Amino acid sequence: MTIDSVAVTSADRWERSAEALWRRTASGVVVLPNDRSTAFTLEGLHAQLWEVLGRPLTQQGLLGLLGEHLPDDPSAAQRTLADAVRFLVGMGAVRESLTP
Amino acid sequence: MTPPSDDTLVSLAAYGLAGSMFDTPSGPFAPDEWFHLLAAAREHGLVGILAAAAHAGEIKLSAAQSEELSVVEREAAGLALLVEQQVVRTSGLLTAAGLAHRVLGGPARGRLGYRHLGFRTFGEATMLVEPEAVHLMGVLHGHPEAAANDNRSAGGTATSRRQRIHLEVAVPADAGDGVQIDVRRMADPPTLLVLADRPVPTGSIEEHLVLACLEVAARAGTAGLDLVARRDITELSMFPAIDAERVRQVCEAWNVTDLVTHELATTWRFFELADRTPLSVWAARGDAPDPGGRSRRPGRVVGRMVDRLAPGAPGPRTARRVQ
Repeated sequence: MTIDSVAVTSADRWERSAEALWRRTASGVVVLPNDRSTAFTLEGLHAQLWEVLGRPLTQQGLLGLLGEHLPDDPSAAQRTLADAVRFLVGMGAVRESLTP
Repeated sequence: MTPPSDDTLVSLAAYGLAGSMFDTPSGPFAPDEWFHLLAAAREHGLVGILAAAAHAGEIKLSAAQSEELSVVEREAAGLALLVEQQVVRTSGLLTAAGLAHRVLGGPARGRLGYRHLGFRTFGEATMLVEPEAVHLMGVLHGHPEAAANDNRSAGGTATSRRQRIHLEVAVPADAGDGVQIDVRRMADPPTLLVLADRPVPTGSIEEHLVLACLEVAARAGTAGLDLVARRDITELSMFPAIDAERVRQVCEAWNVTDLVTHELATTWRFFELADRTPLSVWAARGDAPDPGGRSRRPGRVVGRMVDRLAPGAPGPRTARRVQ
């Protein structure tokens, strides 16, 4: 799955990939997805996104929780958030929630 | 410029320990001092603690030093995750083959025993296995010598160059009398450590504490400081739900009571821990202190009992943890 092919719609719910290993560091989060051999570091918005996705959330829910890390303009905030979700999905760290 | 003193490293290793009389080395550090401190932290597995202390403002660093530490910490965290990934895969293979095993060492101690997982970094793990597992993993990893040797005797080991999992058929309980702990002597059913959504068998928190004491005892007399292992002993001892009676039972079953009480008491003196717990009191009563192994500042440890650490007291963690 490429990053660009991930559609982030308002109805989708997202969660951490349960198979990803991760650790908090002093400045963020280091994540190692199941099928990768290289870990990557999340900081700022991406780290916060990872933290809140411990439970499944919609884009609307994420906007409510991560407001202070997003632009004030609602459209820009949605775009920024969608880009961040897309990035994490593309890296294998986040997936669309299958939980009803 | 010389490497940091033992006291500096012990102070760093004691960072965040409730009741420790040591003060964290505060800095600022000249470039040479920093070079040696960071190198020593890497060597002793204290990078996570150093980063946490710096992040909390307990250690003052320049911007460049902070950046360097962040990079080193991320590397250490990434390596620890790779080790855990190998643990999951190795455990999966052994489970599929029907071979009993327990993950020991850094991953288990860090995930089960540490209040702050980031403090505990590691570059390898130990898997206590049945002898057949050494043969199996040797074949799977293309090490025919391991398979050909088929080392089924107690104490057999196999380590792949690429693998960071050290297979052990038995852990020496005492260098002197040849007593060894094999996987059949571990609690059954095992505690399950959930890594990457997969259950990995491991020891109970009480067994991990005893094994950490055995590890330190096995290295007694060798050069160097067992800083991480000593820290492990302290963290595991202070695990809120640890059962002191079960620790005593494990010690008796493995016939290592004297050794464990000695190492527990030594660790309390090592970090100059003022707080007392049921385990530290038990250890102090059972230990005959080595006059040469006393605290660096004798007589300072008076102590207060910490009720929250009593057996059965509610705590934020359970023995089974999901990341």
